[in-house]
Amino acid sequence: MSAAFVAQNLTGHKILGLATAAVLYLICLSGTATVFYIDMERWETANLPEVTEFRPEIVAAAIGDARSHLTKDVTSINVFTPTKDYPRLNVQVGEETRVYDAQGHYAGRGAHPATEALTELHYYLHLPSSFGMIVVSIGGVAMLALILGGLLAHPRILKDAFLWRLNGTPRTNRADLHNRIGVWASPFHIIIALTGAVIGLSQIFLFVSAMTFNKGDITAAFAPLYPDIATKAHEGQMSGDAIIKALTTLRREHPDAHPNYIGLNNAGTDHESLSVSAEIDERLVYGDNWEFDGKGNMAGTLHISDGAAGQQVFASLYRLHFGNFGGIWVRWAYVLLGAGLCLICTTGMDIWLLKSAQKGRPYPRLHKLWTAFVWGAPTALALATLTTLTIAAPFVPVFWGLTTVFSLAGLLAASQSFLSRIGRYVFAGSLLALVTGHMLRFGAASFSQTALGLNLTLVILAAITAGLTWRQTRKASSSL
Amino acid sequence: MIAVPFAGSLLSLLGLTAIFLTWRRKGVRDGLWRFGLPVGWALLCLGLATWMASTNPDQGLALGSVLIMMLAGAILAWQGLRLAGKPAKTQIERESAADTVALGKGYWGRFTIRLLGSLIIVPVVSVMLGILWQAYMPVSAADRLVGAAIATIFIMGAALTWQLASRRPYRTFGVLTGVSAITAALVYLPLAMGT
Repeated sequence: MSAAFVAQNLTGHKILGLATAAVLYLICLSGTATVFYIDMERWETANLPEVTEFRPEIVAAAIGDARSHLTKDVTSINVFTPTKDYPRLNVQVGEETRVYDAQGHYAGRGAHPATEALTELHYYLHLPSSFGMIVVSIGGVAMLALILGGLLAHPRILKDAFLWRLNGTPRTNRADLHNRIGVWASPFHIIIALTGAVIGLSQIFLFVSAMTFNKGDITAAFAPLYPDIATKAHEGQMSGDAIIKALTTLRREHPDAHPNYIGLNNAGTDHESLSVSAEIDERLVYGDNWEFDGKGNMAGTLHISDGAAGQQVFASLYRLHFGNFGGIWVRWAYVLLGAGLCLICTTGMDIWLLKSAQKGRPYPRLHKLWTAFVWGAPTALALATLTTLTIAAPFVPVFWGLTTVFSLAGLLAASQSFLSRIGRYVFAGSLLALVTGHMLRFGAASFSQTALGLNLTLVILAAITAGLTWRQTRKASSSL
Repeated sequence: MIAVPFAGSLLSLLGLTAIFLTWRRKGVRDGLWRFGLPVGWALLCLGLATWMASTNPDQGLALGSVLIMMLAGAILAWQGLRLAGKPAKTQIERESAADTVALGKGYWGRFTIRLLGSLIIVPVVSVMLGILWQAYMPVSAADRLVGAAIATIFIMGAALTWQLASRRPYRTFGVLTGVSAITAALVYLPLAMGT
């Protein structure tokens, strides 16, 4: 690689990185936290019962109860059935989520506004959903370009494979960290950027494709992936016995399929039918879909798990993006790799700021603003969750308000290094406050199997953050 | 069966160890060390293949890749902590020619064309090439559609890198615009003529 080629790519990498650093950091930060969204949903409703076993009878009972909440405008009942990773029986009717116990009896409302707001931050940055999703997806494309440009701008990629000069200057330290994580975790970064961008921008591509090949008919353009299965017309409502028959048939004919979603289509009308989505053992695809008519007879399957390669790849994007395969240890690995991605965003900006300062062009205010934002955003996430959980405050204004206040308050700090230390301590404190708030709200349920894992994780994260900061401060003061 | 994933993990660990030990010799690769890197990478590939055989290939590949990245991260962390207490030997900071870029003549023109290229031409050319893929790839309809969507994103990333890194952004802008026009002609002219 010639020096000019490397320099060109480094310039492109720098321009794009500086332009997108803050947005990418927010997307990566919220994405890392979102990996645990199924655990967070349970944690946020820790007082509600868990259901460990899937039984057709309790699903039929729950659907029967939810029917009374149908209105003219609400014509579907969505059931999220208990799985190994999510032992809950949730039924969604319109905007309401109703939780049922192991006997199929109603147990309470399953609203989880903080988890919802967190995932919406990752999906849309709290912008209007379609526009926000496009913005986030463009972030995915930018990330892909940054990875490509970064790799091309790194001619010593193999020679420096494990070089990390923690004993170097702050700039070499950050540059090594940025480059090493960037190289070794690049498969993860590429997959995250690619799947995220495809999930979001596929709507635009599908629109252009439909305009080009299907006279604007989006459903027809999508048909190769999700073919329409005609179900037989049926007079009257689908009975509980018909629902049990459908689910028993599926269990008998596909013992490796574990239902995770059941939809009662056209609920309350005289042509009801059932859609069942089920996870398949040891597969990356999110599952397969089966359709049943109003009498519980199988009408067909979408063949997502054994159809064309394109169908299988498309159905694998979501689980690949969120690490929703292989159980809890894969989710933990995704959290660590996601934290690495956040570090790449922050160190990238740091490298540029330190390099500018070394060249006699320091940006002390920008450096303080950036540091305050980096620690302020996760602190705001924790505090917005806390206020939503304890006093039902709206998450979105609290989060954005606190992020803005923390970032601007950073400008008042004496120095960037002081701000960095304080920021970490405040972040650690916000995590402990969140755990305390959870215990106050849920009492003994905070120590139940449902919530203990996440609460312990938050305490350990707070301890590590505070401990490392304390150690770093002590070292710095002893070397003076 | 736990033995096969365990073997895959062991092979991955051995592969990374071989690469790490070879790297630590800092270019002195005499005797058997000459084979350190190829053997290391081969062991990593073998580890991935073993993981793919242990379950379905799609999930096995994903699990094996995650494991390798975590092991590499662990080696990096250990390496970093090992050196943390030691005094710095060298503090060489490689300067890049990129730092010498200054606000010279025509800077704002190049800036504007890079911006327009990134925001307009890059998305247009990538979507057009994706549509071309969907129109002509000789595979099933589902494979064409998904292949085109994924290709669009890859092309967008590559074109964005090129537009931003190019020393001649006007020429890059022109090339990308030309490719968009040719691609559009290849897709829409046959459709307009009903062929």
